[in-house]
Amino acid sequence: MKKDRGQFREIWRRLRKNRAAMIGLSIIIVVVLLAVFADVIGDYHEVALKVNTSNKLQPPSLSHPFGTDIFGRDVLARIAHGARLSLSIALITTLASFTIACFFGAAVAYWGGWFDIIVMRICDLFMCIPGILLALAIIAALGTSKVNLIIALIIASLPGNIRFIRSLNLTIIEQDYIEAAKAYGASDFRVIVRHILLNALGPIIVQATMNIASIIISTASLSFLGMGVKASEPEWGSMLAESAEFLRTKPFLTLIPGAAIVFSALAMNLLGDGLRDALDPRLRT
Amino acid sequence: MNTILEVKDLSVEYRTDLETVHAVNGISFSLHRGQTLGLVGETGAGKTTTALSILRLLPKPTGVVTAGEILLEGVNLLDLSDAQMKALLGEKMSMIFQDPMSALNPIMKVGEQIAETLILHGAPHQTKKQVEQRVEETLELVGIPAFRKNEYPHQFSGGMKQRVVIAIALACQPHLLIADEPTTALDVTIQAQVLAMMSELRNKLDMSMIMITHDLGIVAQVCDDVAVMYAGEIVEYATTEQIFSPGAHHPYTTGLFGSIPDLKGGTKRLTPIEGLMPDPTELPSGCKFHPRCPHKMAQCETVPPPTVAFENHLISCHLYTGQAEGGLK
Amino acid sequence: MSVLVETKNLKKYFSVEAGVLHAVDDVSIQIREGETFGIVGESGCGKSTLGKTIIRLQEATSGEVLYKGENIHALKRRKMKELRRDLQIIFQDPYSSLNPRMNVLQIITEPMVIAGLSGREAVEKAKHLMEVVGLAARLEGVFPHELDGGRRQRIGIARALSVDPTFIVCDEPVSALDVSIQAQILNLMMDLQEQRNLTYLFITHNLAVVRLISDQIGVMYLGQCVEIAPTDELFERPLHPYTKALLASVPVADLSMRHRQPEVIRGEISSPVNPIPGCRFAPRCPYVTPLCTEGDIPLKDMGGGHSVACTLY
Repeated sequence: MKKDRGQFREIWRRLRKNRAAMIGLSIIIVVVLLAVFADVIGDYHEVALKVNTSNKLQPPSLSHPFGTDIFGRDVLARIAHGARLSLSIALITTLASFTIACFFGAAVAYWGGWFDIIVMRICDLFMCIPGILLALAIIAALGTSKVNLIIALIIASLPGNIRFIRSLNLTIIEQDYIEAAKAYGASDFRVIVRHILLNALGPIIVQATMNIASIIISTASLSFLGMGVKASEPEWGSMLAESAEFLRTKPFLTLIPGAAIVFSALAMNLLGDGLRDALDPRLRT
Repeated sequence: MNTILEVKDLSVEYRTDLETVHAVNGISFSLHRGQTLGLVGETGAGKTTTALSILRLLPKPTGVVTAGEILLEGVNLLDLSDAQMKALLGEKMSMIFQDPMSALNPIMKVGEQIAETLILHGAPHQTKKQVEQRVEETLELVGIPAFRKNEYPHQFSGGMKQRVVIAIALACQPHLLIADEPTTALDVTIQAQVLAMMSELRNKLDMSMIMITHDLGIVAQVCDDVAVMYAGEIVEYATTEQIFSPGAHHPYTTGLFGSIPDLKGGTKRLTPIEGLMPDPTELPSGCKFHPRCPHKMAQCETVPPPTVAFENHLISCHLYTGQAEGGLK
Repeated sequence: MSVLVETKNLKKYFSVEAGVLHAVDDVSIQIREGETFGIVGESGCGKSTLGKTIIRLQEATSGEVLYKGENIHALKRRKMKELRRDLQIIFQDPYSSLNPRMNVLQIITEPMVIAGLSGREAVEKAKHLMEVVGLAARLEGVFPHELDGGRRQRIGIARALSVDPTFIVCDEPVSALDVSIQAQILNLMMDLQEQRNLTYLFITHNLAVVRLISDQIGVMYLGQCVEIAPTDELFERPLHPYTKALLASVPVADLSMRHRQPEVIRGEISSPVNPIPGCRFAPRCPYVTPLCTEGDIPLKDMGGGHSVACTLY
């Protein structure tokens, strides 16, 4: 296992040389720190949720570094709790979506035949509908809640992910070591997990990183439309919606959640790009 | 016989921020008009690098010629500008690569690909009809019926594709053709066809050829002279007759011959060279073959071997020090 | 010596867009215990498919493969899984035949763990095997991409040996290697055969290699086995026009063929999809007669274990 660490060190060494990826990673660390220390910045119920109209629309100051919104809530605290919300939704969705996609993608690639045809045609069907519309329709049917939002986002991202993992695995299945494993009697499950998925891990991690970015944007978009989380909750998209009417007078209020969305999505994409280059086997010696 | 190509003391390195690969280390050879020189050696011996340096096609910026001269008909290619070099490629020399599949543009008809070379180099003043005729002649030359000029590469088999590649290389009747393992990707019966055709064309066009190969059978069949390369050096340089005759040889050459099974039978076990090719980033001191050599002596580890000349047969090995008939070179 | 593996009218067809690809078409060979049966042929002749069908990595379209007298293509899944250990394979490409995410020790131990050995036993045996195939003990934790082709091929051999097989399909095991390394691996394989009484099906396009290692040779052309003979007999008295052409095409590494053009056979290998009836070599054959394409040409016994499928005889 000592050598294993060597491989990771090599990837980290290449990643570190990629300036864009490092900028992305720094932004992600800031966002993660905001999410982790959200309660230190301001209590969820007392600071981020409680309406205090006497304090509304304050300009930035020492006690409120980003000012306060129309209901007198501290914007920084809301951004921090929003980071916690966005990141957790994005992480849960991506993890669930990729776990399901890994097994379906690997299974259809490995067994092929009718199973493959049926699963892929269903994916095609879902992919005819733009992801965000599909998510909207699902939420409209299930009702607005965090859980339903996550379910909708998983379903919307699943067809694309299955297709991605299937095509990735098809090239791995061609390799002789798969045949060798069958020749010494490895079970199908072992072949899929240890020989196929393990080798697809690099590209899957890259794709998952990019997926997190798109989920952050989707969450914000849906919340902006009022179809994501509850309106009062500190979500970046709903903060954007609330402050939209003050765009002329208090542009700051719109800019801050906007920047949070754009920069965290951008950062994820930069990191994903960098990871792809760092993991690229063609550059490997 | 006049010399067409002379390589003097050529050294090439590949430099990355991590390491420096010493791919070619001070090799010299010359080639006469109408002759074929075989460059023989295993993976990493520096054969392809030598060819790419002659054509000035080393990957940039990693590949660097650190020393030496390459004289084509008396002109040092390393002094030429990129534009001058471009004009020379195709017209005076061409190269055939191992993989015919990737050497052709899949979305261009083969006739157009040959015509392109002709227009770029051969004669820009030619009319369309003349070019067309030259294309047909060139295709016939490599044994492809002229009517196939309107087909795309994917419609050709592997052997036929390699013929097209050769047709493109020969379209402007270059003086020097460098063939890098031109038949390795082909089946034996097809290889025989292509080799026969190449030898015939060489005689017909009075061309000089550098044949890069790892197959000693091909050397015996088509080459006049042979340079055996190991770790970026020419360890033995001789005529084909000398290489295939018993007598003084570099231990590596002997090892190569011991490694190939005899088609005529009789061998029960091979006598391979022990060990592996040295790491080109960290070449051994002294003679680069010494870690694998069965005749290793004390000085082999520290002193680079002298090149000993038995008339025109050159061997770089301590074993033959002082034995040369023509004296040290 | 007894016959260990035998194929009877083995066929493997694939349906492709253009029709039916006859990869292996009615091949019947007998492989004797402890011997090497060489299969030679050019690309696309179905030699790899034959090897994989014999150990049932591919299901046969029809015909039988008898291992110790039992048709393995009729075996139930459970029984087949047990038998897998007896029938192993070594691949051509030392780069794609090893899982890049597993280190040397993991690669060699996995088949043994599946076979039911305890982790410790497997590691012990793997270390011993590494020594047998000439891999230094310090390479245990190394990943395949850090090694050269020759060492990787040794790992592939150790992996195949780990389950103590009796029969190994060697699918061009030295074609991707440099000559000096190729010789090392060939010697290793011959030594292992002697020490462990292994039976090989050795698939290659290299005639010199097949001559060195084989006791019997089958020549394949477009899915059919056109000639079978003991090694020296085949090289000294080739009968089929294709075998003759093949032998004449190989550049010989000595001065005997110097500046003599070999007899070049015209034409190219045709498609194995919907092939013509009769002899597949007929379109290139200098001795072709109308008889050649009329119907199937069975292998004819010419005595001394030499048989040929040709209308000339």
